[in-house]
Amino acid sequence: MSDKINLKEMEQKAYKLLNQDGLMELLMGAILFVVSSTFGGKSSFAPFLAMYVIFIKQIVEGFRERYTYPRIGYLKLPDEEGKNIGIGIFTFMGAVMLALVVFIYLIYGRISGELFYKWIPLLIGLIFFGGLQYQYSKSGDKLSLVYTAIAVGLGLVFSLLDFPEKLIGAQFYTLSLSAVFIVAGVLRFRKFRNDYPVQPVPEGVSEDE
Amino acid sequence: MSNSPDKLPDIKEIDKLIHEPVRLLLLANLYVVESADFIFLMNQLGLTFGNLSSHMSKLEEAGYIEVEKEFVDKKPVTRLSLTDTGRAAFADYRGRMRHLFVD
Repeated sequence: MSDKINLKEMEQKAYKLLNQDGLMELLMGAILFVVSSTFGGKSSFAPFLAMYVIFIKQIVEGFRERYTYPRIGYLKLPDEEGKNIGIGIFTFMGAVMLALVVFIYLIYGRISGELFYKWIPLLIGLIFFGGLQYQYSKSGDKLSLVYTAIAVGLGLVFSLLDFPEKLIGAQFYTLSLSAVFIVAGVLRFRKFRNDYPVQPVPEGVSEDE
Repeated sequence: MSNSPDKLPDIKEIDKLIHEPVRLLLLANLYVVESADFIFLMNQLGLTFGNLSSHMSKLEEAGYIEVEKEFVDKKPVTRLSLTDTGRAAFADYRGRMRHLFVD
């Protein structure tokens, strides 16, 4: 054991511990599933996104109060960066879109809606790349790198394949990635429950209150 | 190490309440999170309830931490967080310790 106090490592350890419950994967899988349905014309992403934004805190806290905190203890991470994260996400998405447009122009010598649709899987993969790299910087969890490789790799594959309709590639890509995240989330949740049994309330807590 | 007299005041002003190893680790753990409960801190620090409680009381008396006690699903929960004073004191302690030694 190191005799030094490494605050960055401590922060990463706390972040990783809190995110071992599989919830992040399940939420990403759910979002991607709805995005996939939207590409298939079967649902609209906007109402889901609105519901997601409104209820995400309650969903996350409800899940963690029931499954996570009883096993690892209650832990709230600093969220002072919320505004900066929002700006960062939109800036990154804008930069990725611009880079993709330039990339398409360099490869094909023209820009068209059809070509843009074809490369949507890679665009989504690169957006995930940004999010997952942020996740990795916060947690040091190498699983984020695996997810990054899968998201970008599948994005590239589905962009290179030719499909009869313009959004089928994007639909299959988001559906595949959704399946990956949901399976990973379920497996991680099961492992979390096995690794961290529910802990008894420490003796003396109620008496001392 | 230099025995420069201008370093002596820094050494004298080290916060002895924070300097105790368990309290130092407790504050360090709270420094990187917004708040945490007894179970999390006991696991991270390998402490018993009594030991953690004793250190918690000293830090609370000094105004370095805030302790919130509530019931969640009929179970008692004790949540700890650093106060602004505690955060400043910990940052100050880090700064002093960092500048105390030279290679």
